[in-house]
Amino acid sequence: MKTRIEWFLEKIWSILISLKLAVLVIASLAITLSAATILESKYDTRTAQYFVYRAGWFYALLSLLGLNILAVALSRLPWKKKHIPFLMAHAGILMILTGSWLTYVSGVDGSIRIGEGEVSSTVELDQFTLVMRDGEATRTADFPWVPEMIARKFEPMELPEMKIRIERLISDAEPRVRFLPSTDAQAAAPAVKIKILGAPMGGTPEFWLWSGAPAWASQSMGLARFLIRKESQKDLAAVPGAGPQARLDFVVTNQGKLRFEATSIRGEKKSGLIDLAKLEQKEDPVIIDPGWRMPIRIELKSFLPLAVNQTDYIQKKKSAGMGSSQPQPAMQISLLRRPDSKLWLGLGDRADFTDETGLPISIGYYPKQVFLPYGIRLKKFEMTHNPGTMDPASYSSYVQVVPGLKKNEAELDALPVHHITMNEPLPMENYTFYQASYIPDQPRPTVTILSVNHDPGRFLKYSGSILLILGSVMLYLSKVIQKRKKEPVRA
Amino acid sequence: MRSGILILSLSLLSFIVGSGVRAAGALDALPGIRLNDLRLMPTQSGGRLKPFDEFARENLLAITGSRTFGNLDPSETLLSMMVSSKEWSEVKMIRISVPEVNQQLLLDSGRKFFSAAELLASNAFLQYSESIQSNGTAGEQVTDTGVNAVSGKADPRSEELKRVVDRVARFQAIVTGRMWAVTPARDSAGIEKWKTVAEGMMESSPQSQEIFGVLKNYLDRNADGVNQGLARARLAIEGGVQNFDQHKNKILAETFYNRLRPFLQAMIFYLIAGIFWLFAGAHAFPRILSKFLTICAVTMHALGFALRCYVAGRPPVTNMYESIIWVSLGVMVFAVLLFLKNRQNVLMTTATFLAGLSLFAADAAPMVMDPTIRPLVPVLRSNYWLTIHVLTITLSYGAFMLAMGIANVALYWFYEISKKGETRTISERIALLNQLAYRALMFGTVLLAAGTILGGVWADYSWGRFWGWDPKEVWALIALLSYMAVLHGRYTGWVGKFAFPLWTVICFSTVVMAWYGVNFVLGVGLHSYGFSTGGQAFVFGFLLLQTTFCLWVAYHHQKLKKSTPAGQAG
Repeated sequence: MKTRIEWFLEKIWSILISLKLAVLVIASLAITLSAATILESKYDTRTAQYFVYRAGWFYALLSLLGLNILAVALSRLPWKKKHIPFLMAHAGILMILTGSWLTYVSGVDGSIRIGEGEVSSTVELDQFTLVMRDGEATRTADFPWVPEMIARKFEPMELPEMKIRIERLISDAEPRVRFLPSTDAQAAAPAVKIKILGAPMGGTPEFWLWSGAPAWASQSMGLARFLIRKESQKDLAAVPGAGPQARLDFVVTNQGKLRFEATSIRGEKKSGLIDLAKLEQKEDPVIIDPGWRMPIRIELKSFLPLAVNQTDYIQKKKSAGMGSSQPQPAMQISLLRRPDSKLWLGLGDRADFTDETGLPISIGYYPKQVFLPYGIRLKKFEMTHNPGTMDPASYSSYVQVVPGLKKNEAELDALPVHHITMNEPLPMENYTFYQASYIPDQPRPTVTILSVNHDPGRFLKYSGSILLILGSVMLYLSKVIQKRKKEPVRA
Repeated sequence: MRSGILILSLSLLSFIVGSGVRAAGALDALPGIRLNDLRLMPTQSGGRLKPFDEFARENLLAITGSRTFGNLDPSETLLSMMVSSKEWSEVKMIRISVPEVNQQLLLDSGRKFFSAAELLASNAFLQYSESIQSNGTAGEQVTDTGVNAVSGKADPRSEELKRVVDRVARFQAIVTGRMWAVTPARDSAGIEKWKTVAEGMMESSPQSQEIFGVLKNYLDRNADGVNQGLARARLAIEGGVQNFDQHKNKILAETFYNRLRPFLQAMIFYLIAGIFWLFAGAHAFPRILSKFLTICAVTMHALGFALRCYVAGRPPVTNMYESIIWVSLGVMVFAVLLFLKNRQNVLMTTATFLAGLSLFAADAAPMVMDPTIRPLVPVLRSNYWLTIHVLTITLSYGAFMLAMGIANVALYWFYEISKKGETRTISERIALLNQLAYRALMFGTVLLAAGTILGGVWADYSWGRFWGWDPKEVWALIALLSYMAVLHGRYTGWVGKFAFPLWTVICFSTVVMAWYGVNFVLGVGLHSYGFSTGGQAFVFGFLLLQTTFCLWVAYHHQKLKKSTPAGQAG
C-alpha cells in the first residue's frame, strides 16, 4: 500500500511530466509578458523590471517551465534514437534558462565613461548607492530604485549606520528651483517672479528671473525675451541668432527700486517704475504693459531684492512625447539627530551637513560602482557622419588597457591601441567592452561611453541556442518524414 | 511678427530676373522637354548620393504626402516650382492630415490641402511656426530628416503641426534653391557636403550657373535651351563627383526602380492571379493563366527587391515598408514550396491575395510607411548577424501569415458545415487545410525561434547582452510562446480540428503586435530606430474584423455542436 507521501509525490510527478502543465505555463508566460510590455509602455523600463522581469515570482514561473521540461525529458527514460531531436531542443531551452540565471546572479552589466586622454577603471551599474563620509569613515549602503506606486507610499526609514533618515522617495525626479529670501551677501541677488498674460501660444506661463546666474537672468519666449539685472550690472548683450525679439528688462536700481524697460520688435521703448507698495498689499495685481503690438501683459507676482536658489525635486509628470528615458530617482533625507536638516538629493548629488556636535557629514547618492583590475585609457574618439548631414554614420573609440601601476604620458602612449566600434567589441580578461554611446559636444564629441559586460552564462546560452535550433529543425524534418511514411500525400 | 525664413520668399530666379514676367500656363509641362538628364542628375540629400528623380519624389512626398503631384513628372514639378514659385505657392499642395491641426490653425476643417500662400497669410500658423523653430526642431528636419522620422510616442496633433511647418519651410527652401545640392564640395572638416544652387550662385560655381541657365530657359518656355542646359549641367555635376563610376549604375538603377514601380506591378499581378486561382480547379484556361500571372508577379516582386538591395547596398528590411515587401515575398516562397508538394490551389489563392493585399497596404500609405531609402543608423550598419536575424524573423512572419490565411479558409468551411451540414468532402478539405496550416506554422516556429535566438546573438555581440527583456524581443518571444502553446496543445488534445485553425488565426495577432505594435503602438525600447506612427485604424480594423469573424464562426460551430450528438462536429 502506498503511503500518503508516496501518493503525493506521484501526484506531483504526474503533474510535472504532463504536457498540459507545459501548455499552461507557456500560455501564462505569454500573457504575463504582454502585460509587462504594456506596463513598460505606460510607465518605464525600470517599472516593468521591478514588477515582472526581475521579480521573484517571474523567476519561479521560469523555473517551473524548466522543471517541467526536465521532468518530461526524464519521463521518457530510457531514451531511444527517435527521442534525440526532442531531447536536443528541450535541453537547449534548459541550458538557455540556466545560462540566463547565471548571468542574473553573477554577471556585471555597466558602463564606463572616459574623456580623451583620461584613464578610468570605474564601471557604473544600473543600481544606486548611498555614500556617507564623516570625520571617521566612509560607509556605503545600496538603495534600490522603486517605482512610483511604491515610492508614493514610502514610510520614512532610518539608516543608523549612515546616520540619516530617509524621509521621502521619488522614482522619477524633476528638479524644481525655488527662490528664497536670504541675507547671504555673497550668493544672494534680486529675483522676480512674473506671469505672462495673453501669450500667443495660449496658457499663462509663470517663471522666475534671477540675476545671480546668467542662465536665470534671461528667459526667451518665442518673440519676446525677459531679463533681470542690477543697475550696476552690465546689460546682457542680445543673444546672437535669436532673430528680432521684443525685450522686457527688470532693472533693480541702486536705491533698491524696481524699474521696467521695454523694447518692441520695432525698437520702440517704454519704461517706468513699479509700485512696490501695491505689490506688497497683494490686493490688486501689478500689471505691466510693455507697449508691444502683441496683446501681451506681464503680471509681477513677487519681487525679492536678495534671494538665493534652492533645488527641490518633484515627481515628473508622465506626458506624451516623453519617449522612454530612464527615470532618475531622488530622495529627501535628514540627519538622525537633526530633524530640521531636511534636504533633497538627486542622483549624483552630494549634500553637506553639520551634525549636532558641529562635525561635517557628507552624504552622496550615486550609481553603484565596481572597479576594473586595470584602467582603460581613451586615446581618441572618432565619429563619422552621413555625407552632407549631421546624422552620425558611425562612432568608435581607440582605447588602451593600462595595467595597475600609474605611468607617465610617454609610457601610456606606447601601450597597444585597440579599436572598439559599434559592432566590434573588445574582450579583455573577464570583461568585454562595447561602444555604447558618447556625450554630444561641439565641435566634436570627446567623451565616450562604453558598456562593460561580464557574462558567466554566455557559454551555456550559446550552446543551448545551437542545440535548440538544431533540435527544432530536426523535429520539423522528422515530422515531415513521419507524415510521408504514414500517408502518401494526396494529389 | 513674421521672422526670418518664413516670410513668403521669392524664388531664386526672381532675385536676378525680377518677378514680373508670368507666362500663362506656367504650371503646365513644357512641351518638348527631355527629362532624362534631369532625372539622372546626381544630388546629395538625406545622407547619400541619389538621382534627382528620387530627390524630387522624396520632396513631393514630404510636402504633399504622395510621391507624385498632379500630372507633371516629379522632376519637372520641382523644376517648375523653382521657376514659378509664386504660382506654385498658390497651388493647394501642402497636406495637413490631422483635422485638429486645421482647427488649431483656424483653417477650413473640410480640406486636406492648403497652399503655401494661404498658410503664410495665417497669423496662427506664423505664431506656431515661430515657436516650433525657436525650439530648433522644424529647422533641422528640413535638411536632415524626412516624413516620418519622428521617434518615440508623441501627440499626433503637435507632431503633425511640426510636419506642416516643415512642409512649408521645405517648399520655401526648394523654391529659393536652398534645398537642391548641385555642387560637389567638402566642408572644413573634410566631410563631403555639397553646395546648394543658391550657395553655388554666391560663389559662381559652374554647376549652379548651368542650373540657373536651365531655370531661365524654362521660364522663357525654351525647351531646346532647357534640354541642352540639362545635359551640360548633368555632365558638370557628374564631373565633380569623386569616383562617379562607383555611383553611376546605382543612379541608373534607382531611377529605373522609381519609374518601374515594381511592387505596384507585382501587386496588380498578384490580385488578378488570385482571382484566376479561385477558378483554377475547374478549367484549364484559368489554371494556366493563374500560373503565368503568379510567375510574372513573383518575378517583378523579386526584381524590385533585388533593385532595392542594390541601390541601398543592404537587404531592405529595416523599416515597415521594407519588411512588408520581404514578408509578402516570404508568403509566396512558402506557398510555392508547399504547392509544389501538395498541388492545392487554395494555397496559391490565399497566398496571392495575401501578398497582393500586403503590397497594396505598403503602397497605399507612404506617409505611414516611408518608402524612401535611407542610410542606416550606426547600430544597424554592416552587420552580418543583423541581416540574418532580421531576415529570419520576418520570414517567419511570412509563414505565419500564410498559416493565418489558410486557417481562415478552414474556418470558412466550418461555417459552411454549420449551414449545410457536414459532408465527407468538406471534412477532408478541412483536414487538408489544417495540415497545410500546420506545415506553415512549423516553418514559422522554427524560423522564429532561430531568428529570436540570432537576435540574441547579435545583441550580445553588439551591445553585450544576450537578452534584455526589450519589448521587441519580448513580443517575438510572446509570438513564439503562443504558437508553442498551440502546437503542444495539439498533443494534449486541448486543440482539436476546429480549435487549431481558430488559434492559428488568433495567434497571428501576436505577430502583428511584434511586427507593427511594438514600433507603432508601444513605442518603447531599444528598437527605437524603427519607431513611427500612423496606420492604427487600419491595423486595428483588421484585428477587429478578424476577431469578429472568429467569434462568429465559433458561435455557429458551438450551436451546431449542441444540436448534434457529441463528437460529430469535431
